[in-house]
Amino acid sequence: MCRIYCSNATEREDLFQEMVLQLWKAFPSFRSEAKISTWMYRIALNTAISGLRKKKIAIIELEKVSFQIEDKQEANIDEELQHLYKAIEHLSDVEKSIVLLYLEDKPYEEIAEITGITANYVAVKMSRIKEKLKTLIKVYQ
Amino acid sequence: MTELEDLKNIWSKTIEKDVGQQVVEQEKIRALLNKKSTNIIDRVRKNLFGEIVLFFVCLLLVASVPVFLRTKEVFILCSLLIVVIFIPYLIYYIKKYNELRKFFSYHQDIKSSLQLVISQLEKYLNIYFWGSLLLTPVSGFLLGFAILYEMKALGFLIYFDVFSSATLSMILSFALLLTLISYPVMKWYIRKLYGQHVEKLKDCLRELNESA
Repeated sequence: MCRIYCSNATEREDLFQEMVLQLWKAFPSFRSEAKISTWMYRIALNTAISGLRKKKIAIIELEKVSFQIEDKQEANIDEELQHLYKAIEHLSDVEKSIVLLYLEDKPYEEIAEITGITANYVAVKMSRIKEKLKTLIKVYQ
Repeated sequence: MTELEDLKNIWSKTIEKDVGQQVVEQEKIRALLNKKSTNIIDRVRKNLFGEIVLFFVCLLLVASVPVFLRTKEVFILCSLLIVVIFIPYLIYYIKKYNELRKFFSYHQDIKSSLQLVISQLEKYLNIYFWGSLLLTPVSGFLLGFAILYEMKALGFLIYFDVFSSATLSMILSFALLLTLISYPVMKWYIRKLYGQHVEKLKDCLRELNESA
């Protein structure tokens, strides 16, 4: 999730940290009305969408090292998956949340429960997103 | 070209591998929880606390004026400022602060949470704008008055009556001019502070509302 919403490692780490913090804060109010996974996705996605994030440029030597390590790891990740990540970067925050839940194999009903829109609209949105991604991936290939 | 379904399979395999490599350490989580939050409502709440402190300091300053200038007019003016502006605003600010402390919308679906966050932010930005705008003529008037009073006390304005209606009108005009200037400045500052973020959240909500 952090990878989809943030373009660099420092931002990803910050977002991850914020998600853990919000989940921790929210846990006492968990009432089992929804599945724990649905509840966790809601908090994490709300944190990613509503949070105030500043673009950071890493200049510290130590961080440079971690970038290098990560770059090597990224090179090993499937090339097609890299294209997918690049294409997702062009989507809106709402579209990112829907595509993420789709990739996590969530049914449209659960996506609807997390996003607050109807399952029918999720299907409509998803078909539009698929078209968009298809075009974008083609460009990267 | 690879279909999205194929990518979905590659994605789930990669994620599974990633999750398997993650080790949850208690110390790491504890350290994460101690770091500064980027939650927008938490930021706003901290700003509001700053405003409360500022208002309180201003209240103390206004309350201290009659101690140094022991005239009936000054006493009435300062009492009016405290009772009509400072105390109601402070009560309102503290009420809003407590409301924000209890506010948490992230456990709701994204659409409802966005609606709540936007309404809270708009409410706060409105309060912040009007509160700051209200303080400008008050502080402008007090500043003008204090400068003239001090200059007279130092012997620069010997034939000048600080309490005359002409002087008071002049100080009042200065305070109003300051307010007029601060109006667009405040609008720009608030937009710079949170306005763009509110717009971004509104765009997300608009996108979710497209189906309705």
